[in-house]
Amino acid sequence: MSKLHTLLTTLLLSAGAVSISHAEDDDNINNLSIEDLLNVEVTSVSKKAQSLNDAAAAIFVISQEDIKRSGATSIPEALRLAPGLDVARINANQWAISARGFNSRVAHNLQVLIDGRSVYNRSFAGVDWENQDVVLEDIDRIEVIRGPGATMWGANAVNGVINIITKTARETLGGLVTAGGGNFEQGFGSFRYGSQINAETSARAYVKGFNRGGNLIQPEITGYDIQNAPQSDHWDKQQGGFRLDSKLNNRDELTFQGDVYSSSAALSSMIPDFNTLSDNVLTNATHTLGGNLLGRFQRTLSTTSEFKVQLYYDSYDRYMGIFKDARDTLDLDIQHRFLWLQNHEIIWGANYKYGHDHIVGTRGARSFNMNPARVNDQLASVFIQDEMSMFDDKLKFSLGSKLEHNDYSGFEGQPSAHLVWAPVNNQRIWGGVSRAVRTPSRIEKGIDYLGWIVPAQSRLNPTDFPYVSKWQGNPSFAAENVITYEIGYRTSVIKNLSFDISGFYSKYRGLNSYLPLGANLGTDSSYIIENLLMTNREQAHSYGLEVASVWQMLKWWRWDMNHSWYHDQHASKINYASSPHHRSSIRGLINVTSNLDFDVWWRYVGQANADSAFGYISIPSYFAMDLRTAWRPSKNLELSVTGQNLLQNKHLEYVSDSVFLPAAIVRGVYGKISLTF
Amino acid sequence: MLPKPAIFKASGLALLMLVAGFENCLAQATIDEENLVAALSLNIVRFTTWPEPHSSPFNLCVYGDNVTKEAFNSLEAKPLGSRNIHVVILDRLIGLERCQALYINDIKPNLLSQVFNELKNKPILTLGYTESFAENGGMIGLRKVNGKLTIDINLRVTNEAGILISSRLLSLANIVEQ
Repeated sequence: MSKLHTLLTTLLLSAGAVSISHAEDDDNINNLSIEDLLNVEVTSVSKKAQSLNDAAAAIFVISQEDIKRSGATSIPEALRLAPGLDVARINANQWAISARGFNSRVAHNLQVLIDGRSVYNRSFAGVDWENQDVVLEDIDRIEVIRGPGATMWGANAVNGVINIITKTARETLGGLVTAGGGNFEQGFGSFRYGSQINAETSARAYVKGFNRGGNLIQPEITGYDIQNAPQSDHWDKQQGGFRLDSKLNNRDELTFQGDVYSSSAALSSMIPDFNTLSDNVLTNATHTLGGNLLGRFQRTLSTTSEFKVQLYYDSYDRYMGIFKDARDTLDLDIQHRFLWLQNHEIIWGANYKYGHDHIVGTRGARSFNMNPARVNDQLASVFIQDEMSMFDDKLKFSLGSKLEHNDYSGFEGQPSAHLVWAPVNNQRIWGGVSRAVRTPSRIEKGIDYLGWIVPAQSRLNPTDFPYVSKWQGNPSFAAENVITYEIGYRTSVIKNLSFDISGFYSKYRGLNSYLPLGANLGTDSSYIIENLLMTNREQAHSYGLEVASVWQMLKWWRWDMNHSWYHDQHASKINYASSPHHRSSIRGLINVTSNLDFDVWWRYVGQANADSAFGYISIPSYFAMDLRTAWRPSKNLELSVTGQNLLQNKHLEYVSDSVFLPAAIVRGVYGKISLTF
Repeated sequence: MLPKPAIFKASGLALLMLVAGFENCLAQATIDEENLVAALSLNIVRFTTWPEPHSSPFNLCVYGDNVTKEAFNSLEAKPLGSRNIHVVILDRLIGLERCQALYINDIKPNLLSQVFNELKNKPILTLGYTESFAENGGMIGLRKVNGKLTIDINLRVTNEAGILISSRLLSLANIVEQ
């Protein structure tokens, strides 16, 4: 009893002392002389735990500091920091990433932009994460917006938008060298140099490269015997690029940037062998060559008005084992923001995109082919949004819509309405309704694919005949669409502690599903072909909650925490792949001294289900822990050691919905040196 | 082994020390960047003379995020000579003529240039806490150097606007050449 009493008394007393000292601080600080104020040690620690975003959307910002202290070595790994994102590593060189469920290697619902350049691949309707990279130290921030963003960002921003924004060349002057290696991160390095060309122009250039691999390929998950089980998921990549920022006069700015990369990765896929009527595993060395070039002109017309024109070209060419493909994209975008009648902020824009692709199978007619093999596709859109300020700017209501025309599904309207209310300085309440569409991919329109052989009398096929599924694209495949209702609340009422909570309900129509067209016998009548047509017959709804919090516990110790709860239900009772119901992340950032950091990061990911080539498979829940420590012996030098996935020898995060073999992600440790000059 | 009450006392004491230490750290963290910047801005305004007398109250306009707004709100009604300060929170960068002083934070560089453009030769003291604020055309820029705040003053801009900075403030500041 007395112990409890002491505890309660102490807590009450200290709570009182804290609130008194706050009030005293305010007065004391304003009574200090200017000389005294210039001698006070500045602490900037509590900012992160107090600042609130004004957006009427579920937004989470990953800062440069967050990326560095997470120990992430790639953009996809850094995205694990955000709530509401389902990040699953397939193997060393592939990821499946989605927002609010429906995850897949080609998750269709997430729009991703790097410095304004969309990296959503319209051929496959998804993001090839292995091809997206920058020098991580040059990232200014990553903005993760969950929920539809189609009014501003266009089709395919169905469940989220990720904006990766790099620093301007002006902010990256001087040299940076990083180098490191370990067991899984076998070796990596980068060199960047930025220079001021004249008073108005700065530029930087970089090269980077890495070697990764060593995850354990898991053929035993497949449930039946696979010949030639592979050993490797090795990946190496080299990339270089530049960025130039120039101020033409006091209102015009010009940016040029570009990247070029080449990579080679081991990819293990199951290949049907029609002679033995079983599956072989083919481990291919895939190759990708890609690059992009972007120019942006920005004119600032006044303190409340700006206009920009952006043009980019993006191209890649790759060999993926069972197929090879290439795509070229040209994109022109204009955007204008201005103030109208004192309280309307209008943003309008227009976009034109031209694409050309070429997709061909490499294994003849009885494998993967696309009809037609080449297409030219176009997309044109306009949007307008009005943000109205009311009640002394405390309430903001925005209304807008995008009208888009694409060659795959015609005209699409994507309206949204959002409201954000700031009753006091440290609270925000917001809500919104929006519609977004996901445009059909080339696969859904024109795939012709004989998948893999399911042997007779096996777990998945109790009959006496082996069978093979044949997917057929559907020229009349239409766009999927969603209507999402969202609500959220942010607060920093408690000093040094902020909360951000959001909830959503989404209703999907016209989702991708397969329509069985019946079976027929294969060429020599020794196997059955099950014909499946891509259709838009599925409906679903999903709902969930996401909570993120930052707590500056001590001046030198911060906690970043988030939890996401997600649930979905499909109208038909077919076993669809499902994302984890629960995901948690708790990160402790400890500044032991000003030159010594210690970071700990726990993650929990709930059980998920995969609808794979190997049947309906449960992916067990897992805990993961990363530790990082960094020491700066001088201002220009940092040495760090990071341990990743330390709790287990290996764990499974994803099983492909296609023919790629799953890999278990192994424990990794790497060291890193970072030098600036 | 200690008798039971002694354990209670010892653990109670340890807890008290822990919580006291914790509380101490919290208290220290409250003298943070934004409050210091606000307090320093108040002092700077007190050492500045405008070309013509203003009507009461003195409008100190603030543009920035919620943390900045919160810090500057504590300056409301603080005396400034014979007048009191009125903190005007700006949500958009319009109607700047009503400000005698303008503190700007969290703004894109291109928009900041336009603010300097629009306020050229106008007797509105511009204050900021962004990189190269004074070099880029602001009047008074605050910077963090070795964990302490320093003041940069762009005398060309203040002179053109007819704003006078006291010699005491000048002696504590870096004079920026543009």
